[in-house]
Order: sequence, then structure tokens, then C-alpha cells
Amino acid sequence: MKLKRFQSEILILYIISSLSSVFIASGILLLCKNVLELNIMFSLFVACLIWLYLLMAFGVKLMRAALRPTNSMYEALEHLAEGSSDSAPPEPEAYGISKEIVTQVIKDVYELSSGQHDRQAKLVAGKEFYEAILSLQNSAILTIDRNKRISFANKKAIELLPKTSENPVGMTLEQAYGLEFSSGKPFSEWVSENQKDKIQERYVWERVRIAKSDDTTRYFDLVADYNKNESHGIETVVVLVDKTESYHGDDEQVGFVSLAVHELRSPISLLRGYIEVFEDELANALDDDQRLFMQKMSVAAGQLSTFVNNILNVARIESDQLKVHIHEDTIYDALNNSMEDFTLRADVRNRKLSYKLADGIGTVGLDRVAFYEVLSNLIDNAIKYSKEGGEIEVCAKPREGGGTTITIKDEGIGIPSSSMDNLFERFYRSHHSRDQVSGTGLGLFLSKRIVEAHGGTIWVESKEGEGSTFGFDLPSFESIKGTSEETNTEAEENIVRSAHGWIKNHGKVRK
Amino acid sequence: MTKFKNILIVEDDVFISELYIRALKKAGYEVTLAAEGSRGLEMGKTGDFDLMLLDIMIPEMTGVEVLKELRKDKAVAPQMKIVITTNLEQDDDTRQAVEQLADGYIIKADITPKVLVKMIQQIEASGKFEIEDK
Repeated sequence: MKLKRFQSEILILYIISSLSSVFIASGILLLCKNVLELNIMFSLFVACLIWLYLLMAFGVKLMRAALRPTNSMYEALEHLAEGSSDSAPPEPEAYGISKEIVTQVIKDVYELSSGQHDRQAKLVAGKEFYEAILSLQNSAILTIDRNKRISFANKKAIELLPKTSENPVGMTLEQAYGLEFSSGKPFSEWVSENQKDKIQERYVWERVRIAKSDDTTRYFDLVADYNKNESHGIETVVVLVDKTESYHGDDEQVGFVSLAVHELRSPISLLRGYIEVFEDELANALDDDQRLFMQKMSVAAGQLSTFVNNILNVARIESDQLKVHIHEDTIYDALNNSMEDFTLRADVRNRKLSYKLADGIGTVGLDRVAFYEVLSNLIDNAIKYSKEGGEIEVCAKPREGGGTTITIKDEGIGIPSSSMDNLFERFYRSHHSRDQVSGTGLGLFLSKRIVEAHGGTIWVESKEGEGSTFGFDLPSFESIKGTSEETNTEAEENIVRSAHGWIKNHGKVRK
Repeated sequence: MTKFKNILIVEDDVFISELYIRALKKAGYEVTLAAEGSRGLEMGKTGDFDLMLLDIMIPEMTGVEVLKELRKDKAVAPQMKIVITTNLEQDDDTRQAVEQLADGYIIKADITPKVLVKMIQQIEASGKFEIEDK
């Protein structure tokens, strides 16, 4: 419509300018009336009018010709515009002047326009395609923005919400799903650390628990990809893969082992109890040999208890359920707690166990029950593989660069270098040890896993025929503080832990 | 320092309870036995006991159920400490309940009755902090 108005405006302007030229000519004629004859003036006036008519006719013709290409382009555009499919397409062939140019311009317009249409169609199809993928995907997919808020959740992610009616957009991942992480740092803490100094980062949490409002619980593996510079504001993409069925299988396996362990522990508790009663109440009635037999029985029952715990822990490792509950602790306290027990074990087998604890050892992050199991396995090995009357030294000292090193040194049969590489593998027993000493090959495997769960490393130095030194490093509490979800909670700090269980320190809680 | 007088053992294994009763009596405590969960709950509610040693796998009601029931109402036996004594490994739910509600957790196979007495004395000693802090 604007084009029509534009055409009329040009026409009016043209008429005004033509009329003005006639008026100017008439004015000149009037000024010259004294010079020219009347009939000559009349003839000139008529000539002016004819000139004016010709000028206007020519002008209109010229303007129409000049505006034709614009007009036809306008028609072409109008024809292409969405919702105007009724309008007739322009016919460039009908134009005389500039036919080729007009045809070419219209052709270009058509090409450009249809390209645009194709692109739009492709975009729409692409969007629908990706939306279909996201909604068909059986894993929950969420995007998290820089403020740790959910910015998108696919269909599955919405289904997984404890209350499916809620919209998770705008909530944090923990708020929306009430996630419980069985290991590793919590999600938001991981994101905060990345925001400080990471560009791209990936982390996988296993056995993440989501409790639904209908009291059912499902387990997931959570994969998070962090990307600092993503241009759409998606900082982290989270995928939750439902692993309930496979973890349920593991649970059943551990469940069976737990039950077996329970049944084994009951008679062990009794054996240990009765042995203790006899040790106490028959002490004066027994001769030295009998007393030693009694002690040996006591040690054997204690070792049986350790072995049963080993079985359970190996089952947990296999199903990825071994958890250590780390707390700030001193090596002095932890060792003092179990020294008596280990010394008795060495005594009844006629080995000399000594302790060498350096001063100035800082606190470490420790799970006492698990620490006791590591020590128990390493000291039992030292007793088993050393000679009658042999010395065993347990040594603890500060480690260079922080943390603590604990070593258990024996003067036993040593380990052939060919066996060193496989020593910490499950069920591994060197040829040598199989011939000479009984064992299961679980102790070192378990010790390695427990030490690693503490963030430490385990190692061995040995010379065949001269003895072995097993050692492990534990990081300082300061260095691992806050990395475990179990540390630093007020309630946890008030629990007194020992190798045999835990007790809450109520005095401190109530303060 | 708080000194316990009356201890309630909720335990269905007669041999174990026998050993514990013997060791605890020797250490000077008054000991009462309940062999079923429901009986343990009933006796625990009376408020006559300073400490309850509670097994988890017991007939009629599990130890965790007894624990939850006793701790549901803060007015019920508020002075009584509850220590779980078990050989059962805890699943996540049990662990959570025990850590929130119980005052201690002991694996029976890992200790002898004498060590149990020592741990009870540790609980008594933890009451000492309360007095000192005030």
C-alpha cells in the first residue's frame, strides 16, 4: 500500500512542478505585453498549454515506466509474503523496458525468499527433532545455569521429581530431587570448585539416591559436565542414569553376605565371651601352658572376627558399597586403642611387637574401624610371615609434605620380586607364601582399598629372605577437610569412635 | 560423671545375654533382661533404666522399631541412653536411624563382655563433660 501512496505523491509533485512552469511562462508573457502583439501572445499562450499537456502526458508515461520494476518487485514480495498466497504473481515478461533486469531482480528475490523459507523449515524440524530425542531419552537430562539453578529438564527428569507436579526450573538440583550422594563431594560443592578455576570438568557419582514421595527409592549414576564458556548460559549438563536394577542385584549379593556374616558373628561373640570368662576366672587355676593356650584361643577368635569383617568388606568393595566415615583423629589415640590387642596376637605366636611413634604427628582424616582393619591385616601378615622370635616394628611418623606415614616392618621370609606387582590384587598369594603359610589373599587387597578410600597410598619394600616393610601414607585432616560429605558435621564431631563401634558424646551436644 | 545403675538388655540370644549379664553385674550394675522387642519397648517406657542395650534382630519388633518408638516422644524415658548391640550389618536406612536416634553402636563379635563394660564406662564418662562444661 505504501508503494501506491508513493506513486501518487510523485505524480502530484510532477503535476505541481509542470503547472508552476506554465504559470512562470504566463508571467513572462504578461511582462512582455508591451513588446509583443496580442495575437502573438495568444498563440504563445496556447503553445504553452499544449506544451504543458505534452509534458504531463510524457511525465505520466515516464513515471509509469520508471516505477514498473519497483511495482513488480512489490507484487513479487507481496506474493511471497506469508499469508498472502491469494495474490497473483507478477509477470515480468509483460514489461517492456528493463525486462531482463526486472526478471533477474525478481528471480533473486524469489531465491532469497525461498532460501529463507527452507532455513526456517529446517530450524523448526531441527528443534522438533532434538525435542523428540530429549523426550524419548530414558535418562533424565537437565541443564544448570551459572547460579546453579535448573534451566531445562527433559520429560524423564520431570518424572523423576519426588513430586512430579512440580516444575524444577529455577530450583537447585539438590532442592528439586533431594539427592543423597553415597560418595564424593556433593554436586553444588563440585560446581563451586569448578567455578573458581576450571574451564571444563566431568565428574561421575555412583549410587545417587532419590527417594520418591510414594516411599520408593531409586538409584542413579549422575554424570555432570561442566563448561565455563558455554554461550547459551548452560554451565553444567547433568544426566541421571537409572541403575536401580543393577544396584539392586549388588544389594542382594551384599545382603546375602551380610546375613552370612551375622550368622558367623553370633558364635564368634559367644566364643570370645566364654574365653574371656575362663581367662578371668580360671587365671589362678591354670599353669603357664594352659594360660598360653587360653590366650591363643582368644587371639584366634579375634582373628576369626577380623576375617569375617574382611569378607563383608570385600563384598562391599565388589558392589562399590565400601564406605569409610572419616573424622579428624590422631594416630596416637587410634594406635593406643588397639596396641594391647596386637601385642597379645604377637605374644602368643612368640613374636616381639614394638611401637615407635614419632612426636609431632598432626591429625589425619580417619575411620577408626577401617584403620583397625588395615593394621590388623598388616600386623597379622607380619606375624604370619616372620620367624619364631622375630621382631616386628610398627612405626608412625610425620610425612614430608604433610600427613602421616605408618610402617610395619618384619624380619620374615620376604617377598620375591616377581610377586611384588600383584601383591595387592584380590586372592593373590605368591607361590612362596602358598607353600609356607595359610591365608586367603584378601587382606592386602582390602587394605589397599581402605587406604585409598582415605585418600592415601599403600606400598611395600621387601627383600627375599630378609623381611618386608609394608607402609601407608594418610593425608593430613587439613588437606582433606570438606572433601568428604561425612566430615565436619556438628553431630559427627560429637561421636567418640573406637575400633569396635561408636558412642555419642552427649555432654558436648548439650552444651 | 553420670553413673548408671539400672541397665536393660534387649537380647534374644540366651548365651550372649548370660555373658553380658554376668560381666555387667560383676561391674556393679543392676541388670534386667527382655527377650523380645515388644517387651523391651514396654520396659524401656517405664523410665526405670539408665541404659538400654538393644539388639536389632529380635522377635516381635526389630530393634530399630523399638528405637524409633522410644525416641518418638521426647517425654518417654529421656534420661535413658540407648546403645545398639548387634552383629548385623546396617543398610543405609538402619544406619541413618541408628546414627540419629541411638547413643552408641557396637558390633558384638568385635568385642568381649569386658570391652562392653569399658565402652559403657566411656558413655558414663561422656556425661562428665556436661558437668565440666557448665
